[in-house]
Amino acid sequence: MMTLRRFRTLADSYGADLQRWPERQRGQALALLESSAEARSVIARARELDEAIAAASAARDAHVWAGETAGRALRRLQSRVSARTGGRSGAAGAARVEQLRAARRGSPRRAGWFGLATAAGLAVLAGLALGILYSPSSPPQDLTALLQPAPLQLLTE
Amino acid sequence: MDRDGETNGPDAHADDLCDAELLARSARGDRRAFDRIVARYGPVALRLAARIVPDRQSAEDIAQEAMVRIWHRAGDFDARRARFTTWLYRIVANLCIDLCRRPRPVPLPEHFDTADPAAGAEEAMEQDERRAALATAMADLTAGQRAALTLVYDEGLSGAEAAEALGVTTKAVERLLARARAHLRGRLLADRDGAEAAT
Repeated sequence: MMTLRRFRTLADSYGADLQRWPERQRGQALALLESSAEARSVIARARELDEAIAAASAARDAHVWAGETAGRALRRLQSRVSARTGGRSGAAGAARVEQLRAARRGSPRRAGWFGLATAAGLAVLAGLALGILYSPSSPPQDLTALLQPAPLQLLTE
Repeated sequence: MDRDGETNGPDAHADDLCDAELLARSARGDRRAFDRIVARYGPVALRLAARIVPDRQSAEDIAQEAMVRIWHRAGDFDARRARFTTWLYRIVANLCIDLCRRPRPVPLPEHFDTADPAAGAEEAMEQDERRAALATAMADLTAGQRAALTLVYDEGLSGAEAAEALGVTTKAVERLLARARAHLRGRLLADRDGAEAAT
């Protein structure tokens, strides 16, 4: 048996229309409604509020859609959605693009470029290290000389 | 497939296809199938968004974004797990709630308080004030309260279905509804309740 308190709680959430109430509770709610004048009073008050809410929703719709028709709004929506999605070959196309990207991320070609770049970087570092190790003991005095590559003593001796 | 899920063959017209089949075709890049989804559910997205966000432009932006997301994620939809409408409601409601987290002033349209020439000037003014008060009362609810109210009261979802769409529990939906109603009772029926209390 549903208590009046539970009945009031459900009415406070779902209003007077029992079709909105949780299906499992409707039978008990109907039984209470038949037997309790207080339950009927709760529903009468809830119905007043339902009507006020319906009027408020209609007023809000009138506010939001003032000067506009549903048909025009739908046509605008269709046009804009089409413009944003029409340039692509479709969701399947998007999936294919993503697959290609994923494949490219892990492809041997990408790995090859990465290897070449690493090797080039290491070669530059090695050259710099050799230049420092085998540079002349007395540093060049002028700026022009400073900008010239240092001769490798290993090769000039 | 038709609306009951029976197969009609590959040449069946998009108008006759069920939501799940239209989504499956959209996922394969079928523009015609997706156009049918937009035609069928665009009004629902617009109506729901307009009940939650503060103005028409935002509602149209939300509906547009929801449809674009559906196009891109059509392949993710699983008809065995949820109805398409539940998925649509979830996308639209979440976009609306995210938008409403960024507060901004909501101007009334210029012609909102235009007097009805058929009615007397004073009566028309009262009508307009009443309408403005009603609209403001709804606007003062939180986005979550408006979403719950719209899904259950206007779209006819059960508490459990609204909970699924909003990603919350049924109890949470009932609390949102109860708070919304308490607020609206205070705003819309305060005069009547006060008069009743006085007698």
